[in-house]
Amino acid sequence: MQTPLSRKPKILIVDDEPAMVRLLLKFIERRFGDRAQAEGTIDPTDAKKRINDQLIDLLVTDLEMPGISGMEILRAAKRRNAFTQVLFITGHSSHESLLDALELGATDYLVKPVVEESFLELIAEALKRHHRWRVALSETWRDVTPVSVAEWV
Amino acid sequence: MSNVAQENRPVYSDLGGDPDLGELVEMFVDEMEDRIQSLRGAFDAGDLDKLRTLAHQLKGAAGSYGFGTITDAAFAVESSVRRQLSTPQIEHELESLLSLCRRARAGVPS
Repeated sequence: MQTPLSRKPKILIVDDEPAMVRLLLKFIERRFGDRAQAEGTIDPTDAKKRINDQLIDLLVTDLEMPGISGMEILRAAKRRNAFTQVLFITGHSSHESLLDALELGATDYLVKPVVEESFLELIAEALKRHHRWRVALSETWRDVTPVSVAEWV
Repeated sequence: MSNVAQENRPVYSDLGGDPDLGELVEMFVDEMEDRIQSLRGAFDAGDLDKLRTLAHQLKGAAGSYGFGTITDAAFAVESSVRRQLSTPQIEHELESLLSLCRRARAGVPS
């Protein structure tokens, strides 16, 4: 049985450029193999649907896409699951947009063109951070005894 | 090397020799003709917003696929539109980009 801590982390890649999605998925696959589940989409609406339907642990999204900002995807992901780590990939960014991203809880960002090693380093760090949150959360739940639950109601 | 020789020289990806990535690079190169048509079409239609978006997308993707020179040329197109340069100046940058795109090759130099 898969416990919350043994579950493979789920990664979602969002970029309006199909070639980028293919490449980033390949980078993840060859470093993490079957230790993580990664999927991608070029459609921001589809991205939001996947975020709502599944528990995404790590979201990697382009910041600047036609018709939608990566910031909107970040908000959707954080609303669904506050523990979702969010990495932005950007072609160029203004000071303001990076500050906005930080304020909304972005984990980190990477400037395109993407270099495989730098990308995978950020993914590994984000997954470690996410794992620490899950461990902390699971320990918190373990401490919630029936008595303490009863105190809440 | 003369300009003419440089303009005919194939452009190879830095990742072309990577056995895991060769197929993806090949796909990227195969799609180049569609990108060329879209970029040229946007310019001919006077749709500079679209041209800027397409150049921006190519700028990010090409370098990630190991085609750094294409990224630089796509940046020049994007930047020329952003700075509202004259139509001939934008076209000049676009032609340089398209020339590189036409010469993009998968694999490694023989």
